[in-house]
Amino acid sequence: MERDEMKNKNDREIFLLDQRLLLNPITSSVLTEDNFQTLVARCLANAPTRYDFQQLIVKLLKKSKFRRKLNAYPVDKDKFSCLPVFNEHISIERLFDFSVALFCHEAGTINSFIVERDRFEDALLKSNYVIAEEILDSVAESHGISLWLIRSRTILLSYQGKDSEIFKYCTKEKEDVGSGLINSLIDYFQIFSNSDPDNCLRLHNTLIQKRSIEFRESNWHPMASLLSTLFSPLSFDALANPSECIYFIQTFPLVDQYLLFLMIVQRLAIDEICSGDKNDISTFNIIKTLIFAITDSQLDRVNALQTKSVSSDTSEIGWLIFQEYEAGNYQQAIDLFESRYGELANCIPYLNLIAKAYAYTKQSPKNIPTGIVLDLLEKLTPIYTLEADHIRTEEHLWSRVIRLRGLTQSANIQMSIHLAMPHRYLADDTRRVAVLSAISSKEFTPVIKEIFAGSSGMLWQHNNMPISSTPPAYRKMKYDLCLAIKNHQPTSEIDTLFENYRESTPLFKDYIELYSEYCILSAQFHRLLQVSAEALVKDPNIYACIPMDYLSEEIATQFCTNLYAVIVAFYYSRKISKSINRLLNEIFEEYILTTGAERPSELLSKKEALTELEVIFYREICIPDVMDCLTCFDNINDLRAERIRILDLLLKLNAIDNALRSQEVEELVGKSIVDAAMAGMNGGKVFVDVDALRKILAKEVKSLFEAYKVLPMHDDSRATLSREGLHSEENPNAYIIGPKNSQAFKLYNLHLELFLFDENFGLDMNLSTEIRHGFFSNYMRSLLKDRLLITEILDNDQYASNSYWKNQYSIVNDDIWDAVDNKLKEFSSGFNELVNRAEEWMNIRISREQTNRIFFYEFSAEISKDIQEKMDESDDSEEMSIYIFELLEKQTDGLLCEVRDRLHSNFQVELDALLGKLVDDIDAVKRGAAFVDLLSVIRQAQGDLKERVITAAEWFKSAAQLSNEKLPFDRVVEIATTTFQNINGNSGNMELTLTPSLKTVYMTGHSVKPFTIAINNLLDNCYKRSGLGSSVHVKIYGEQTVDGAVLTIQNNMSSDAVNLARMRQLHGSDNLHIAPISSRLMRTEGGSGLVKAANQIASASEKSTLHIELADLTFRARIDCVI
Amino acid sequence: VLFNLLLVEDNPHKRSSIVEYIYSLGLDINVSEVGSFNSASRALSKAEYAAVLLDMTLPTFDKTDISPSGNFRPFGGAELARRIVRKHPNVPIIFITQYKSFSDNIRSYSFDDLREELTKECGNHMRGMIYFDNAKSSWKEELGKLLHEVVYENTNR
Repeated sequence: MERDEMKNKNDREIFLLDQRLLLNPITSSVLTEDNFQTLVARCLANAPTRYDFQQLIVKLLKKSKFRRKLNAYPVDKDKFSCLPVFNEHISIERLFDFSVALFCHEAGTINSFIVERDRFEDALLKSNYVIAEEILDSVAESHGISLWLIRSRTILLSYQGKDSEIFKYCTKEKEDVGSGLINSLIDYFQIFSNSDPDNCLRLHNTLIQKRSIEFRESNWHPMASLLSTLFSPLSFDALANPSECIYFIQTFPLVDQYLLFLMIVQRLAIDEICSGDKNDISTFNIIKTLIFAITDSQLDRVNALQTKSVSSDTSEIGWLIFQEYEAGNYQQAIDLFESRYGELANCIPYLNLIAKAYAYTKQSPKNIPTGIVLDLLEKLTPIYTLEADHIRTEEHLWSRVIRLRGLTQSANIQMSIHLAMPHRYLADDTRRVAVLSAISSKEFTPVIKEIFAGSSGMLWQHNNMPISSTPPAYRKMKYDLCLAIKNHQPTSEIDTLFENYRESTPLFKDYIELYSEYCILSAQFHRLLQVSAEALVKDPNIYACIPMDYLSEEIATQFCTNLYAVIVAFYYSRKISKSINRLLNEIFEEYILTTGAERPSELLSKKEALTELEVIFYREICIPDVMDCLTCFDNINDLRAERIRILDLLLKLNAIDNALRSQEVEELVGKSIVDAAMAGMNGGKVFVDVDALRKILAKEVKSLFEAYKVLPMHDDSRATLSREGLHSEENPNAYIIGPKNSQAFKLYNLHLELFLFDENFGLDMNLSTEIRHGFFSNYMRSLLKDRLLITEILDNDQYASNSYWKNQYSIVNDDIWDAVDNKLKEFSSGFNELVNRAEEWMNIRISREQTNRIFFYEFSAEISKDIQEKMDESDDSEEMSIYIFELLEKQTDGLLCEVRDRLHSNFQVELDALLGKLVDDIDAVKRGAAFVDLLSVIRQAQGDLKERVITAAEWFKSAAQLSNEKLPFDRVVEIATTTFQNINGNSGNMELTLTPSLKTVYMTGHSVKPFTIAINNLLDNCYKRSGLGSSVHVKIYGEQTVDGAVLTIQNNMSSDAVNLARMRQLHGSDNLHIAPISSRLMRTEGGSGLVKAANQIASASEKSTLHIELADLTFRARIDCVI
Repeated sequence: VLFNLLLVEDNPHKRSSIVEYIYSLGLDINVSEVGSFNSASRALSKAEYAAVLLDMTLPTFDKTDISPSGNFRPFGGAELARRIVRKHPNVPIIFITQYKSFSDNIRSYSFDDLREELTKECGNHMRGMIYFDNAKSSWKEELGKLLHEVVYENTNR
């Protein structure tokens, strides 16, 4: 105790001495700049109490020598953000004190900036771009360069349509600025302003969210927090602690420090008010200190949060618009808004009312200039009419929130999304956004205030607004309904009101949202579940109008396993959270079990007709990816066979057409072919299921493709964009510009994201589960472990002694053994490091620092050009998807090759060196002892490890590479028949005879798949059209010919089946002489199995032909295969 | 009576390390080994186990020479755990995973986040979550301690 007191006393004395030196004008003036800085840092870090710290800062700020050490003060551009920051050994709490002292000291400058900031945002919102530009010029003049200025300028330029100037402007700013961090931030400003405005959400996921996760995983929390605070909308990153980015705040100029500080305290205050999360910062005390010096309505409003007295300074015109809307005078509300929205202090909070008024009156905006407001209204209106694809519209709106994140208005735009889809987001999140919106805006609507206060806001509108005119009938009905619900009137009365309302309202969305609210309030979960499921199968867009989170939570809590629950869980997994399939899996399985069946096809086979719900269930939900949770399947082929059975039954019940069945069967057969081909090959482990990904993307690709097609011809500059951002080492000026380039990037990025990161089929998942996590390291380590050459790390982080070899050499002197043991430990350590390093290669590179990761994809000018050329010449979005995935597979093949090369060269060489060194080291320390066995085991392990490296390197081959390899003809036939047997199981009477010489006839890689699909179609024909059921006998015979091979497939038939086949030939549906048509047309337009087979054979090899023959109750197909 | 333990682990090297260690403990444990989500589901529906040791990320099916493993389930172990909680009261669950973090595209879980969530979901069933690192020995101590506890509990039930 005494010692502690002494130490504290000494520390205090040192601090006081340092402080005196610093504050004394004479002593401080003689200190060199470096010594002064060191002394300041030491003094700040050692201030014994918070009071001492606060006093010191205030005194230091009065000294120009200290102020010159801060980035806060304007400097030449080349010194922008170059000064060091004082944050070492200083707590977060004191860093806040530092900022508060600085802001109070510079209140005048900040106050004048706030006026300009508000003027700029107002001008931008009203599309007064000339004024906005003048304001920015004036801020540049008066406050110098700042991130706010750069970000605002890029946003302004984007709305002015000056895309190419954004690039020039940012490049110029980056050239002038020295700091890497600032350059990166400018890159992000540029990307978000310069990219397709619809694409910012995706870019945010790639560039911000994934990087934040990486930073957090590598324990660099302040950087994760900075990225999240600057770029992520509220509630996007629940793990981010906003206060941590205070460590960076001194890096920036004064105005940026203030704005970042404001963002931090806003978020902390919201956390405190909404979640009761008290922090160590004393947020409201800080704000109280600041508002004495700073005049910023936003700061005042945060302060008012503590007493929950935030109110709207609603303008006169705002009230008028609101009253007209509430009275059902939608046209008047629109007219008022269109003619006078410039008079509103902030028009964004009114956009939902106006968008809904457009929806009611079936209009679109007419008199609003191009700009933020018009853009948002055009996005919001289709949400109310249910005309838009909601997933895309949501994405587009979120993209606006992200793009405009540097503006105060971003929070209000986010609120408009929550208001447009009141059941779509968690109530807590909506409330937090409402609070942020209210403290960011002088003017907001009563519904926002209602949500802020903790209600859903759904029943508000009829509470206290007098209705002066005669509203439309549906408006009156809604009024009555809200009252009835609030007054807890009998269910039957409310039901009747709802029935009438549903019939009369022009917006079904209004009905279903209110009905959902009623069901939640009256705890009628099962009723809501049924209504929701029925609405979803009619229009999947309804997901945005019903409380999907509430429903899924209740389904899970009550473990509800009926068909309605399965339908809702299915749409939840598809529309809300693609990754969370577990609820669907669990209730799907239970639903099947409760029906008494083991498999869905058992149930379906008993049906004579299907309801709408059942059609969706069997057609959309009973797919392999969902059914694989059932315990009944023996393997994946059994699972695929079940899907084919379901498709056949659906076809029989006319629930699908033949084209759909054929397309899916072909995909399933294709997958089985790849599996069968891979099973017989070397150990390639890398497989990205692009067919499955294509299916997931189909709708989105189609709409992007259509959007591209209507773009005008444009002289796009070519450019390069890597996943890491714009500023890669290789492409310092990498940049993307122009609508066509942008659309091509969007399409590419859409495919890339899924290709890399899809949870089920993506490359990262594949590399992670098949190779990285344990497989590679365990495979390498296990050999050395078995030979007892490596030991484990103990709890004290030291390697264990090698007890086995110690026992073997127990007669050896302890000193010698210890020296050998140490060498073995060194080897264990070196080996583990090498394996860890190699595992790092097998990762996807997300940030530019991760140079050790090999899987790096970039969108180059060439790729952009290729995609655009392909899009220009193609008329099929699916073809585009196939093309882009082929590009990605090609890139991946190159990267896999690099991994193989590194394993064969770098890894092998280092491994050899490690083992060689171990032998040399043991030789050097063993003195006279022999250690023959140990050395022999090491040498033997060296050889065996070489084999393992070769095997492991072979894992890095993709299915695509395998399918490009040449295969002998007999193997191709074997793959085809195995596939058929695997997924049909009905092939007991199949006789296969292939002459040995077929082993020498090779088929090129690209021919294998179409040829095997052709054989499958022929076999399908044998079994389905013989008329003999399972007693049909199929004979396959193959032999070599001069120019290739011939394969005959024949089966016996019943006389009825022969007659039917003759009829088909007569009607031309089995006409084999038609010209080959595209595979897409084949799939979509149908055609019999024989026609498909003929076309597949022709696509496998141009000169190959199919001949069929029907004679003596025998059907015979002969393939003349020219290779 | 032997203590029947079901080990669900697809990585053969990791599996053999675990099995070898369990038998080295000298407890009366019989370890049944399965390597996929599907085979674990089948095992659980056919027999009663005194405890289940689960890997987190699992393939759907057992991989054979003629049949691949199907989709990987990033949280396959958690799926099985929920099934155990629903259908097999009193069966303790221990997770043993080689991942330090988990991701489902939307959220990234740290090891501790996931342990916390699983503890909530599995309640009394959950006995622990162990980080397996073949280069270290710490997993053995943790596993040994937990197995001693569940075997003792089972004996005294």
